[in-house]
Amino acid sequence: MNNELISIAAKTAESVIDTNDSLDIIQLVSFKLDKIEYGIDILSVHEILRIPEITRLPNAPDYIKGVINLRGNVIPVVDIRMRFGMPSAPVTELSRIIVVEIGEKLVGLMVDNVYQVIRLSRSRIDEPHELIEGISTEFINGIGRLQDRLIVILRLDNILFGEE
Amino acid sequence: MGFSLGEYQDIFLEEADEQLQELNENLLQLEKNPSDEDIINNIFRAAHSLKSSAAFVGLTDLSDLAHKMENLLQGIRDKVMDITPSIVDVLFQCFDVINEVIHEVSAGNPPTKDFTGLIKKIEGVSTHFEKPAEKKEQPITRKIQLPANIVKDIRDGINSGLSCCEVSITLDTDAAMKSLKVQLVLANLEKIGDVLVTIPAIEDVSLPGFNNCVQIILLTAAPVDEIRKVCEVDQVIRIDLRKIELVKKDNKVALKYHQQETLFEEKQEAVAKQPDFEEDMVPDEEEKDEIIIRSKDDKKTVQLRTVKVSVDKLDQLLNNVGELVIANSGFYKLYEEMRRLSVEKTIINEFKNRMEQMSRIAKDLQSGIMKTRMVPIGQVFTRFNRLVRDLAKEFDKKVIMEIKGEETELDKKVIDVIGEPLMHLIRNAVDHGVESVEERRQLKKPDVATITLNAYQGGNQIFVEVSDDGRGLDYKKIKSKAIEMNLTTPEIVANMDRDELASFIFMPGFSTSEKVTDISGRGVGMNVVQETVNELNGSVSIESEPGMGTRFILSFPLTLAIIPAIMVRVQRELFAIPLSDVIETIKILPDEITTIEGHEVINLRGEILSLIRLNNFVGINSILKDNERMPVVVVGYGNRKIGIVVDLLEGKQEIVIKSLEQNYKTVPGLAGASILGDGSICLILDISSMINKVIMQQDMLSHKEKQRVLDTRQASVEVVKHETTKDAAAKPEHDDHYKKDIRESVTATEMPIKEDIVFKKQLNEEIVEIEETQIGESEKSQYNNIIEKQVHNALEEFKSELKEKIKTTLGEENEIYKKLGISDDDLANVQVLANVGITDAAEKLSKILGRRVDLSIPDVSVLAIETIPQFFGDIDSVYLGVYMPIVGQINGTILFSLHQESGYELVDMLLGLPQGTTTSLSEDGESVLKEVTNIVGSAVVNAFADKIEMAIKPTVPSVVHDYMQSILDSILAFHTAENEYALVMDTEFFHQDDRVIGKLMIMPTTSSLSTIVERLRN
Repeated sequence: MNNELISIAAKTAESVIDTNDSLDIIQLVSFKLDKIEYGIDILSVHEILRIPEITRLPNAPDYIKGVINLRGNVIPVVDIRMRFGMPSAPVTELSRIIVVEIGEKLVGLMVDNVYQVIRLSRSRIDEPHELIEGISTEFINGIGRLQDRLIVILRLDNILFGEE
Repeated sequence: MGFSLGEYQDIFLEEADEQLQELNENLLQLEKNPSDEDIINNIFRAAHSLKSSAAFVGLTDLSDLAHKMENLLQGIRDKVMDITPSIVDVLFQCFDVINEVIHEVSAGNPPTKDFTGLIKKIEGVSTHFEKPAEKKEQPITRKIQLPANIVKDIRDGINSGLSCCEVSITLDTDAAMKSLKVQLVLANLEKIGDVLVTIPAIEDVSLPGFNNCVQIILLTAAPVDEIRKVCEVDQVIRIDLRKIELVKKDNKVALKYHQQETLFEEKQEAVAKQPDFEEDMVPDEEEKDEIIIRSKDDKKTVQLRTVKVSVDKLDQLLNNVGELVIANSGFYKLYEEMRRLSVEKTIINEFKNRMEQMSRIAKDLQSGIMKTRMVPIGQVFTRFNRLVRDLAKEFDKKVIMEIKGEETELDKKVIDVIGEPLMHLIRNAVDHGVESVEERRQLKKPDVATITLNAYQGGNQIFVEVSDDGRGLDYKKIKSKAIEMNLTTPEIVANMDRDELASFIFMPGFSTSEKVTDISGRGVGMNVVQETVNELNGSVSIESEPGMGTRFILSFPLTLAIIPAIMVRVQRELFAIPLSDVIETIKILPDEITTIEGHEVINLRGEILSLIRLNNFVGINSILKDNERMPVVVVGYGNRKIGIVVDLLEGKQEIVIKSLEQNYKTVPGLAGASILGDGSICLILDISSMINKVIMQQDMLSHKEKQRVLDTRQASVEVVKHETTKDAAAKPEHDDHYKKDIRESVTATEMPIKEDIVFKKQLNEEIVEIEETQIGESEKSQYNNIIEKQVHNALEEFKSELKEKIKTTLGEENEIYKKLGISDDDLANVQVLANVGITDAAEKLSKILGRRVDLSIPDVSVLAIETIPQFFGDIDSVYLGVYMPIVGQINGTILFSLHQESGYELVDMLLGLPQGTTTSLSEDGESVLKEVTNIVGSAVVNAFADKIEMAIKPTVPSVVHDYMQSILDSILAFHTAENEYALVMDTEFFHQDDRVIGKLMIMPTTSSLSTIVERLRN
């Protein structure tokens, strides 16, 4: 499963390296939802999976898609679309679960696709704007600029729990 | 790595760390209460252990420092010095220095500290306060004048490389059957060495003059720790040990007694140290050198090597092994596929063999890791000694705490959290339960109240009890409080029994205490108790008798990791209901459901059972058709029960519990999740929360409505058998469930009678006409008839199946031998061995009973585990089964089973009571049976251990008082996880008049069985 991540990294390694080659670089795993590109710091990404069998979790919030078996660990899967208040989309061949570490917990984030691994200089990250297409700032760490692309860098702390 | 202390460095560091912690804690306390002797003793002990362990690894400077500390403390203990702030300061400085040294060593650096300054300081404070003329202590223990032949034996023994010591065993003054206990200790010691002489002689132990202390001269090669272990028998309250060595003086060889060392002491009183002394000689000046020489010799004997492992690592391992087991089950599918494709037969068979071998290994691994998580509860119990003492002081009550069953092992997870609930229970017991001294005197109770902590295993449950002999629960107060708090109505309360009333005290905020103290009375504690226990899948029950006391019983599943569960479906979704919560599974027709105030109930054998539809609970639609019989799982929690309506019953399965909290959080109604053989996840229902929800609604129903339901006809119930969903390998289990069902049906027939009483009571109050009872009664008798018929049919069916089974088993037997590679000669070998062991056992038994005991020649056979119950024809009679797991290089179980009556007879005989006194199994009776099994079983184990030259040890026996089927079930449950075959040595003991006493069975695990056979061939 890590192989997939590596292959993604290999595929994109040549293309999207930021010019600034200092230590101050972060790597992001990016995915696209309805034309907006989001990035998750690669250091919190555990692995990326194809969609396995998901067991529905009754009495849990809607955005909790269910739980999956990750090599003997039972981990919850958050439907990112539902979490961001977007209409849900059908699962396709491209759909993936990005398993991230939030604190001590492992959480799966279900996304429509995994787009790229991006290297980005920290100097190119701005504070989150007030409004990004209706997504609450509680999920945003900052906005990264890469050439003409804008990448919404996600903050994971509130993804699993929250008022919604 | 740089500096190292050699191979014992890790052990030393670990020990030192513990001792430092203890030192630190105690020093802090010492500052607060300088006169507390306990604290001084603790510090003394820590310093003493540090001294010897430092010397052991060669840190002589450190050892010297600790020695000086010890001297200083000795002075304080002996009251020749007083504690002053300057002494405490110096002790703290010592602590800091020792801490530094330990850190240096653990970092791999040689110790650089110079202690001379500090040692001078210590000497400074000690000489300053020391009173002149050091007192010479007089040895307290009787000096034994050993006869010449014994002295010669000792000399020969020591010269041949054994070590000699004098072990003093002190028994509890109240101990029953002292001679039996002593015999047990002797038998245990014989296993590890030669007992040369006992003082007083064993025959004199039962005489009135016996002072509860036996001194045993022992020649052994075993380490001290081993000696302690074998001597630690129930009701032995203290074990002291003195090494005896030879010294040459004036060309005469004399015996030199070393310092007495207390190995074990039940009550943490001051350790009575005795100085070394020599027989007929002046103290030797060279003592110190000798200790060092001795410790070098001891190096060889240090065997106990332990590693501390974090629970996280174990969990991780367990997880991986679980994965392995699951991954392994994938092979079964592959195997089926191969068979379908009819690949070469030999390959398939080879594949199957390998596959089974692997699955066995995986399961062994799994149970092995699970066992490493088990920790004795003693460490938790002893913590409370202090609490009880302090609380008693605070409330001006006299309380002592008794601890029993501290060796009982519980899952580490339970051990970690059980402290808090126990603390609440103990606080409550001291504050509310126990009366003041004056009150107790008025009630003619002893001044000193007893709070007992007890832990024991029964079946697949571990029980932890907190009991007091105080005033008991005040049911009146509970009633009025419950009504006052609006938890219920006077009408409902009037019909509640004690158990139901008692359960109110677990409600948050419920307190009958008039005054709120800083430790109890707020009504929080009991709620915490219940919640904590629930989290561990356990339950709490209360037994209380006004004026006599209260007993809280916490029960936990044996292992938290794996539980049996009933699997149910709603649509395609699978859910697990822990079997411990399930009372029965039935099927009912939809029109038997009555709806009151939107609440579905049925009349189940004259009792109102609220229903909950699982599909509603999990938020999906049911696929049951309108007129279809609905499967209902009747679950109970405490004394409440409800029925859960499901779409489909899948059967029984062992599941591994995984928490949802680990990566998410607690989900209402779910106790966790489990990963099944195919890798899919099923959710485990939290029955207690479901019941609480439903019961609250049910209690709101008016009494009239309830009566209306009770008056309607009873649901015609079809009892569903639980079949195991597991694949072909588990098929034979089928039979066991069948029998269980019969038993269930039998108990079911008894139920209506009990119901009837309640029924009548209600009618009296309601002043309804009698004819209604008659209807109820006639219906019930009709019902009884149906049940009887069912039972009869089931029995018939079972009998015919049994016959079949026996036929096939007999046919299979040869196959088993072939498979295990056991020849007839091997069996004969085992038989000879069994004969030796069992003859010895019979001899021991007749000694204990003081009369002749005959025995049948053991019948040795290898059986498939599932067929064992059939070997006991009388599986539905009540037996007393004492089973004793054996561990070491051979693992298995010894079962001593007695028919209930012969068991009682045996208890009477051993306790010296007139025949027929015992009619139920008391604690004493249980202890006697355990002891007997220990002696008899150990005899057999020893015979094996000697012959095959392997280390085998019997462990603590447990008593199961139940139907033979259940007794076997509890053993089999323990075994099926690990093996498929058992070596059954079946022998009967008889009284002189040919009445059977009991049967002894030995069941080694399959792998141990092969080991035995192999060893015997050589």
